[in-house]
Amino acid sequence: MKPCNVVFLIIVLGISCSTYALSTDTLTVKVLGIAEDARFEPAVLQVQPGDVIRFKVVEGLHTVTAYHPDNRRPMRIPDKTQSFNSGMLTAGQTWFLTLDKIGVYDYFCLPHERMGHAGRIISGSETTIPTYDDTLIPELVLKTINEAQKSFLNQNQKK
Amino acid sequence: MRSVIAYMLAFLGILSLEAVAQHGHHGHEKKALKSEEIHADHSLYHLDSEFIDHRNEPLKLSNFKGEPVIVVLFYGNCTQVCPILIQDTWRLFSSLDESTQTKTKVLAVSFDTENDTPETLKEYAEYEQLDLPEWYFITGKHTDIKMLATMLGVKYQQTGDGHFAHSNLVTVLDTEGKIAKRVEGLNQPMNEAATVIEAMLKNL
Amino acid sequence: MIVMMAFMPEIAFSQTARVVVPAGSFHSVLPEVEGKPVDVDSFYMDETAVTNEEYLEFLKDNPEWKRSKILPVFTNNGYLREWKSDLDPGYENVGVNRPLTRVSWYAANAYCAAQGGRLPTLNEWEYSAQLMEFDSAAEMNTFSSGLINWYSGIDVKNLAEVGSTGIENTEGIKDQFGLVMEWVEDFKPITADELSLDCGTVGRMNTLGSVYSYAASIRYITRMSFNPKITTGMVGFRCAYDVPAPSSQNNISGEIL
Repeated sequence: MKPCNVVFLIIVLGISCSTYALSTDTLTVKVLGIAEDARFEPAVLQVQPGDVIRFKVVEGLHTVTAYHPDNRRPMRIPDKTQSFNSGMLTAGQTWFLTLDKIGVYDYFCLPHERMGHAGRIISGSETTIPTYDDTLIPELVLKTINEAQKSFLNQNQKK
Repeated sequence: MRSVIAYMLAFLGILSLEAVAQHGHHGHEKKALKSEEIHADHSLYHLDSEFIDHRNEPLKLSNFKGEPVIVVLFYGNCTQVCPILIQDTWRLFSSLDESTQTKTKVLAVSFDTENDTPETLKEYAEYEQLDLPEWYFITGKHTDIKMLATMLGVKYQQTGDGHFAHSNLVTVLDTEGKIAKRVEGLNQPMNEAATVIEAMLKNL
Repeated sequence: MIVMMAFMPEIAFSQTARVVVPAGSFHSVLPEVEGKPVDVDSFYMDETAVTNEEYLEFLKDNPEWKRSKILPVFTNNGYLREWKSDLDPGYENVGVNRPLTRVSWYAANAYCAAQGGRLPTLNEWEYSAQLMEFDSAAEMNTFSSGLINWYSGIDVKNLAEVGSTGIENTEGIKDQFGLVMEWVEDFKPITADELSLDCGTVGRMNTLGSVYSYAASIRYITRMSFNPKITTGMVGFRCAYDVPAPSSQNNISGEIL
């Protein structure tokens, strides 16, 4: 191969690589509320695998904790994916999460779980609702996630 | 009037001494109750009351003599703080060596005697995935739980809406039931408490 | 002539009457929410403070609480200090039917538990205490001023009989003032935690702007200075219950000859 062709190839590859890097987004989930009003906004978020999800705590004391046995909860994230747990976050703090695998990830906030403080991240274009086991999950958590899922689907159908 | 002033001054003198003694609690939630000063030289196992656990088994505190014990007071309907407290207790327990864990007991005592029956506590333990052989979720008579809480220095009080305001405390008892370590507040480091427990077992 | 002996009832042991205090609310000097009255559910409470006689019966059934047997974890050194011995209050010194004093919170708690009850909560006790009727504001002020004087010097060596102060609330509960101060379940209430115990506290408590609330703040501050092990001649207690008394409250035996 001629050297200038090699250089040309390298430049093209370089551009396409950097173009690929530029295509990951950073999306924000706001963490709000201090008691019964504690919530994630949006409660259902769709991302592409590799996107960075930024949890910004506006007020209160919260966690972003995966439904996973590591966190003493039933598994509601895709098989063979790693659990995540932000630990306690205070107002003003930000926590970052990247989900590489396609699927639906349900998570909750430890202090406010029983008040329904939970959320869902859909990684990939997948929008079918997974059949996670609802037994034992607090009522208000299911309410939050299911209602948010419904309005998310409605919004997507309108597009 | 003068005698009243003298009386008030005398009392305020005593009280300010107590206020000074109570200083030094760091890192606790602003709204939580400060835990009380306690007299650590006495075994809690002097409290002879019979409690009942989430397996519906009657028990006395003295049953746990001979092993280190972690004690936490909470209630099941607690929606803000107790989940963190239970998580803190779990953090302490799970940070211990596996062999230490089998020789350490955890008593999670509910002060909501009305709602937290053994059955309710069993559901709670199962949901939290803490229905482990070393863990005991406990209820009992109102006056007995009050007694235990007072001995530990845990304050709790029912608020108008059926919830409780309470201090946040994780206590380690030594093999004789005396208070060996207190971790006050939420989300606190547990490494010192873990060291205390490991040391206890080395000395056995 | 037939001599008939009159019916002589021998009161083996007469329990204090249990009085119902109906649900209601009151303006506390330490409210949960500023400006909002505190709600109290109905409950039962002893008509009078626990006496030495009653405590003696408790000790007979629960010897681990006798002065020579009580565990140091449950009391400081002054427990039943004035009693003649473990099971002798020394009535010739203290008198009969006097309020029990020099017992710790632990002992009071154990006694009430043994009666199937508990200590009243602070709000229950305060709510009951303020259920008093005065003919005028002036009368209430006079009463409250007297109260302030009383708090500055309870004569612990000369306590009167229970029920004798003449002070009673609208339900018939006697001597919540004028006899002894009393243990409650939560003598260091939540709302007090954020207050530093200084002169500013009295000012902050006196939100009701009355002599009564000034007297109340003295009482609150005094109570908040306790710890559960202390025993003092000016503190006794009475019990609260969630249920009415069992039907046979008085054991009366007697003979007609």
